[in-house]
Amino acid sequence: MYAMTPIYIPLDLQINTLLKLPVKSLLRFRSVSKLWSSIITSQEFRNNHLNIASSSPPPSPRLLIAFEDFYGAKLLVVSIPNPNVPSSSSNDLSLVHIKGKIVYNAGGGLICVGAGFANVGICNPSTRQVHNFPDFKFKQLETVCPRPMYIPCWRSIQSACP
Amino acid sequence: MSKKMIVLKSSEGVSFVVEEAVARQSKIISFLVEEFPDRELPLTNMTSEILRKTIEYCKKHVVEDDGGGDSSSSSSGDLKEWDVKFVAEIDQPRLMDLLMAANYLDIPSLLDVTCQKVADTIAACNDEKEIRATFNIENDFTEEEVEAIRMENQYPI
Repeated sequence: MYAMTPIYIPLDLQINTLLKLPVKSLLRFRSVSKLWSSIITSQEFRNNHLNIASSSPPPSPRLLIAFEDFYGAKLLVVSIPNPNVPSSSSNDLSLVHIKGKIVYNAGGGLICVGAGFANVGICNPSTRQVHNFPDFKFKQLETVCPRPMYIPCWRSIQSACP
Repeated sequence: MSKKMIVLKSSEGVSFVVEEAVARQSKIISFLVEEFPDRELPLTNMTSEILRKTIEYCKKHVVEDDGGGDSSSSSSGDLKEWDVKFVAEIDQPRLMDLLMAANYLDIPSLLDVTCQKVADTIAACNDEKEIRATFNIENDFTEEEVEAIRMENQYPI
């Protein structure tokens, strides 16, 4: 019989293990303990997790479809794997509260939402969080819609609102 | 050329004789070998079983390293497959011990493989209680706080 006495796993090993988990599991494991919750939601952990995720081979692209409800309060996001690529991952659903915003654009797995020129934010369907940007002040009335620009900045945005 | 051998002693006092190149994958043993050549190295916090597993891993990985760089693409794939099989055969408590051993002996590749296996195991857990038991963590959340996190995480359908 093997000794079943619980062993104490040092915190750095626990963090090492957490870094290898997908975002979905991490969100769930916030309820394990207050320590885990604060580790998982810390900026340093997010940055490290993003570094590991972006250094591993990119997953096959998925189709992201967003449905807005009639009142513009909720956003139902469905992500579907490429049917031509054999992969174990299945369809993925998430519900994001966007509070009266309109979907403008999407890129890199993130969705740009806003209400007119104000209240522009980036929504991350994996974490179901909306990160609001400070409101713009225009000297003259602008006629462009907010849209995600310049791909390299996605990394910094992603780490700001994982 | 005769290979230099090193003697490692487990917590039960069982001696394991391994080639120096095999043992040197552990940074801590590498250091100890230089500091104390021709001495038996006691590993008092490792059981014979875990030490045997660790040596098995190191032996496999040292052979592949000696194979030369040109065949690396196919052998590194084989090695990955072997790693997956290696950790798949280990049960949970032993896996945790092996993780601790990899950490203690400072073998980065073994640490990586065992961490990944632990991560895969807990990702498949549906209940947080199992995870707390695995890591020996005390639940310091109230019932309401757990419920609040669960609500946030709810997936439609």
